[in-house]
Amino acid sequence: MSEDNTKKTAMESGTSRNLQKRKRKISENAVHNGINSMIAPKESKYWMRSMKSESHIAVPPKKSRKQTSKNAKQVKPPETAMLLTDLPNEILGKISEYLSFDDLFRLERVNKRIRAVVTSYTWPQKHTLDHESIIYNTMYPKISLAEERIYFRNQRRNCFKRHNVNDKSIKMIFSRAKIYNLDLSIYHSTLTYQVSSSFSMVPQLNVLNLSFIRLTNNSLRTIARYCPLLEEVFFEQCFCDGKVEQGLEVLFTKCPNIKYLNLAENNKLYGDSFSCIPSGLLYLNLANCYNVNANAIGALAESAMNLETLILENYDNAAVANFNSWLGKLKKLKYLEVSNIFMGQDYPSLDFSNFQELEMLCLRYNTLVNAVSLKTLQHCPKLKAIDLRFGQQFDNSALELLQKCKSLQYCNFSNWAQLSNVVDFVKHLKLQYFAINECREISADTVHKLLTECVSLRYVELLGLNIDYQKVLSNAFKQPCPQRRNILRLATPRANPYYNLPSCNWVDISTCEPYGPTPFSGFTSIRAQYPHKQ
Amino acid sequence: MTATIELESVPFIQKFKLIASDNKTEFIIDEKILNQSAVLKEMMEIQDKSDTEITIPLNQISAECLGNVIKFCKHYEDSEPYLPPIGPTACLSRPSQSHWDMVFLKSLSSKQLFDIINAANFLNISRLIDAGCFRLGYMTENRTVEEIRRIFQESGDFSAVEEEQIRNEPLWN
Repeated sequence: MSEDNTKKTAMESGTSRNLQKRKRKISENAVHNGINSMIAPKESKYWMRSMKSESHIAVPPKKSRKQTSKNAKQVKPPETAMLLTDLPNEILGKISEYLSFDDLFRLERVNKRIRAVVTSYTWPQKHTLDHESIIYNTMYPKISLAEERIYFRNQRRNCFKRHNVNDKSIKMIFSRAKIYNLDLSIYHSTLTYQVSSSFSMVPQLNVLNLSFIRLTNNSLRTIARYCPLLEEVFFEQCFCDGKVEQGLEVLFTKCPNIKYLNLAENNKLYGDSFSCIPSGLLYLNLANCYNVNANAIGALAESAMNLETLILENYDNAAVANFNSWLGKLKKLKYLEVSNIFMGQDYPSLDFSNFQELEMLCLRYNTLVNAVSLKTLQHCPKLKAIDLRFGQQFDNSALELLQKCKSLQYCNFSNWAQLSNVVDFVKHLKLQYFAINECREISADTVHKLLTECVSLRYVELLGLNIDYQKVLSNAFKQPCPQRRNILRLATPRANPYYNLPSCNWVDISTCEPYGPTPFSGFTSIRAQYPHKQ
Repeated sequence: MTATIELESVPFIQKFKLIASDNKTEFIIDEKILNQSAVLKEMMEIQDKSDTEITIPLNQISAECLGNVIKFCKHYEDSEPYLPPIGPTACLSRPSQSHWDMVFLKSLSSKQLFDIINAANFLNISRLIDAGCFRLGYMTENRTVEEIRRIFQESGDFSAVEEEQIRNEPLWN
């Protein structure tokens, strides 16, 4: 649909050289149909018109202005008198209220009266500045950063045109609107550390996300100096150019209200400033900060006593004794992730016995956990979910230890080398979520029992098992299952041809690729609950 | 015999007669439509309702425009009272372009649209005011300054110096 329209628009609007060029570019764009169908509004007439006006998608900005004014003459013949300025102020205000920043900037240039209404009424109502608030009703594709990365991986780089948001445009927005929530991570390619120079205009700032923008000591100092009310700070991949410990130290001392702190993916972070971390901190993400000193995390455990969520991924600077001494101090933890840690097994074991509040534990790819550590888990009365993926060191005896954690509901035992009998375990704990992907020892009989007898289960992942799926599943679904109250959602590998199964009213099958993401991950859904927000 | 039974079973329906500015065109509406206008509703609350038909002259609204307003209100006579979108996501929850409101307003000429918004503002019909604003929003968005000026017949009243200054303000596209 969009391709036809773009051709038509280009044809209509003449044959000058610029237009030819534009036509080519637009139809190039249209090749990426996935994105274009996202941008294109359904009303084709509207789409055509706005395609013309929004020529800056395809052509350089300077040309576009002349071009569009020419087009406007052709497209929209002047109608009978209809003056925006004849409308009362409150209507004008209301119209502008529902426009994006992009449209507001253009609207306020129309004339003095509109400018007065927009600056005095509309801008002060805008409190959030992020990708969405800038583009939500424009032609730009609404793609988040995470999606962009997926597209990049698939070599579809041309699909996202973004506003060229630079330090000056940020300054212009700050001078108009009272921003509380600021998320600039999506504009990381056009912003630099100099953006911090305009932060003196937003002393009320509450949430700050500058991920992927390279920051320096000075910029951190400026932020700290002008924004003392910060509560949530996201500095993912921000410190790549050098040490910023001094800047962070100032930030931590001047902003005592920080509750959420995301410093993931910063390999130049050494942690000298962690002793200044505010004691009210609830959430800390240190994933892939593998250069942080062991002493620094010791200091962190001293200062951030109220920490509820801690994510330590890919961290091997410390010995098990260190881990145990820190973890002993963080008594209020609800969510702990200590994953991707490969070390020899001749160390003592991790000790979880201090966590009275722990609800979720992620120990994927962790060689420091052994049977003794699992035994200490019975001291965690609230433990709800455990992720032990790639626990090559465990076998059936580990299940007996885990059976003592009475409150467990979500378990992920994928890629265990030795795991055969799980039925009694699931029945005993009345698990809701259970994943045993790639557990080669699991037999067809066990799977049959798991499906028919364990009625508490709501989500089961059975990818890459060494069984005949067609036979096992069709056997299991022959009988009705009257005790089951909830529908069982089941993930199985993709089969070709598709399974031929008897119809069954208590199960819902989704098929997935062997190493791809599973359609429902009980863990991602509960992980999204952390941090708990009041 | 049957006729009297029918008469009794029909409930008493209050009718209102609206007279447009030309003093000729009359619209007879019932309470459901009238109550959508906060102004008329308030006015009728203090009015004596013993008559079966109350006449309301509306000198400021033309016949054509009043007809459009009533057409709009008639479409919503049986739906829930209107609640305007509020909260931080208010700006995202506006109706799509294919929504009945937007299609209805799109079918009007810009003069009619302009009149209907003014009338809605005068009668305080919040659903129609909002719909009109959304429609005008759709008409302005994604357009350059020149196009907006052209569509709405606005003239830029900035002096040459100001115009230059505005033009040089750093924008992102």
